[in-house]
Amino acid sequence: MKKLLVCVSMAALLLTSISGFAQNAEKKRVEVNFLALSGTESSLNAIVKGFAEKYPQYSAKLELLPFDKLFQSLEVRLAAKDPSLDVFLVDAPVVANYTVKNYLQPLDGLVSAAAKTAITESSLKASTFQGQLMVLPLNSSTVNLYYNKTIFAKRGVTPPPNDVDKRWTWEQVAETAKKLTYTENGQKVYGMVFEQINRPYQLIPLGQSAGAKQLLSDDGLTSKGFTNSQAMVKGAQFYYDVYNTWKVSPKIAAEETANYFQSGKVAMFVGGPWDIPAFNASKVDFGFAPHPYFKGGVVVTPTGSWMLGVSKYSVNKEAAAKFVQYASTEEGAQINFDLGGNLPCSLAVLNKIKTDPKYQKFPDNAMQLAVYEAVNTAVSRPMTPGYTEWQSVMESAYANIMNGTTPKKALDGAVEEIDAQLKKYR
Amino acid sequence: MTRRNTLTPYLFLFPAMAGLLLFKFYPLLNGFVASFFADSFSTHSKIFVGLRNYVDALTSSIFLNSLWVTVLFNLIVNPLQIVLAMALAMFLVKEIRGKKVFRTIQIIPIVVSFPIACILWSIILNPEQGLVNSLLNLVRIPNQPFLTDRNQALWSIIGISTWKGVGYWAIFLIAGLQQISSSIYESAWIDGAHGWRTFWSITLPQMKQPLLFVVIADTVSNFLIFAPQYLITKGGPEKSTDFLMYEVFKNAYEYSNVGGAMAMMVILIVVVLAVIGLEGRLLRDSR
Repeated sequence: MKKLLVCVSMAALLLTSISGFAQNAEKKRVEVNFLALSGTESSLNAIVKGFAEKYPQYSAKLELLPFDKLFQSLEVRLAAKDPSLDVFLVDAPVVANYTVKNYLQPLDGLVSAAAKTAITESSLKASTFQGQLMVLPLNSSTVNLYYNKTIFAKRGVTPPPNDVDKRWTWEQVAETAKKLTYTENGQKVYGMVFEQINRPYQLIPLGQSAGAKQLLSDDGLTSKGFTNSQAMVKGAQFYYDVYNTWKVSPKIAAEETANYFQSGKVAMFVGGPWDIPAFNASKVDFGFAPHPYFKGGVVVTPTGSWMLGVSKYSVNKEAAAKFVQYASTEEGAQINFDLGGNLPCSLAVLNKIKTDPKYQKFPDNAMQLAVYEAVNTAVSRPMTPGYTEWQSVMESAYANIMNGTTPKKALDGAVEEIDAQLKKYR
Repeated sequence: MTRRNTLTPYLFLFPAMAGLLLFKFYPLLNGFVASFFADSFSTHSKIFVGLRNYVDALTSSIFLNSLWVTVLFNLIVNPLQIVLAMALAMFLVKEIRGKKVFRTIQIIPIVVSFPIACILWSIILNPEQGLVNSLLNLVRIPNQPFLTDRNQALWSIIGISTWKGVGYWAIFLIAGLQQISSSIYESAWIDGAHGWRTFWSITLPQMKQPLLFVVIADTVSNFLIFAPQYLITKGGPEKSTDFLMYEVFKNAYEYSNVGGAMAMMVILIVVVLAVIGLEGRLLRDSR
């Protein structure tokens, strides 16, 4: 009996030690805190899971915020040198801004040399500032014209062709949108909507298509004469007209636009391939066509998207850089593309798109169009240390235009405000 | 009084005073000091700039517009809220049928937080599908833009703030009204005074203390209003709702201009203190 008791006690002790050891091993994982954009969690959660599986010594925790709040939270936390933030999403044009504010840890030396050769040259250029690798790209982006086949068929209108040589002009889009704005059974259907209402990312290509070559001075510190140029005013006039003259777009929040398209309340949707998974899930019968341009103008499409940066104040810089490298250049890039549907920057993933027959068929062939636009028509947003200020003021200006302010007045007012803010970077 | 007795009140005061010093005066002092500095992005340090942040603010058309919008809003909303709160309080102290129902209606805006109230009202006032526009359509009035029009946005926020504030401020005034002895009204009634006469000669003079508190507290809260412009209008359209607190927030957290934001904050505090001083003086003088 005594022996039995001793054996049981020994076994219990051993089990306790083993479980304690296992717990300790679990605790020893260095956790990376990752601040990202809400709505992208399906792909990012999978990346977080894949990272922990590949690197048993590390794990990652996702923290999500909506678009506007993400920028504000980053400003507050990074200005306060918050050590709990390790990795965060960086919008491509703010890399310079975050670098001059000392928010970003340079990645040279922290990521492998192979990481730099695993991404496209243009994305590597956008990731580098003053000769240092500051971020790595999570993905790039492009914008197409999506349309609801049911609405087009019902109104007897021919949809735009998926042919880059026969892409529609904005004038054609406007004429069609007028025909497709109607009320049926008390439900209003609108002709078109820009997905990212009031955001410069989607709206400056209007001005650029009308001929705006430069949105800021060469040093990036003067907007007067550039952001309010005649071409930018012409582009903004189109935005004004869709809401106030032709009344073919609903005045709603950017977050609501995809739902409007999916539920058949909007006939044409100027948005990105990242919306395709949701369109498929909603069963909306949709097609897509290349991004429009102004008749006689230049074809310009938006580009640039989210980068991954390591905080200068992170206490886990090594683990954080490992996560960035995994998400940008290793298996994470494929996971992000498969689940997020974004235009990749990883050469391996781009190569797969070119060769895999899956991407020749609808709707995955949207990615072929995305790659074409990225190579031939994409124009980056302006590079300036004051991009955050520029973007914030421009969002207000476009909101005013949507609400009825004349484009010239809105943009003239905006440049005064922007230039007053850019002074501090001189 | 023994030494121990002399110390006792200070000991009781200590926790509250320590909290005030730490969480109110220290940040204030910190902000005041920060208003004389600016960030140097080349050296990643703060540099002393003297009064430059104040000069920049006071010569900026955006700041001056923001100051004007804040003052205009307060000139309208404070008297409006106080008159309505007083009327509501006088109505609710009366013994009337259905008093509990009215009290419940009064409480609803108080228990809803201001951010939630803002979101609710932005849906109700939606220019496309809002409830208010649906009701207006019933009486053949076309859709109104409300929060998306430069001529209606400020008035819409005045309406939302008033809906939120009147019931709350009425609680303090109800407490004040209940303190007035009924014998004073009875004497006045015997002397033949009724209605407005008793209001001007008895109610209002007796309500000076609670009114002074409500006027000052209401002014402070309305000068520091933030939720509607942050959550609904973003200061627009055309800066018609660009209150000072929002301008301070943008400069601090979007424009990396902390020194400028602190200077604006100090100017706002000076303006609030001046207005409160004026209000206190006016109410005291009219005793």
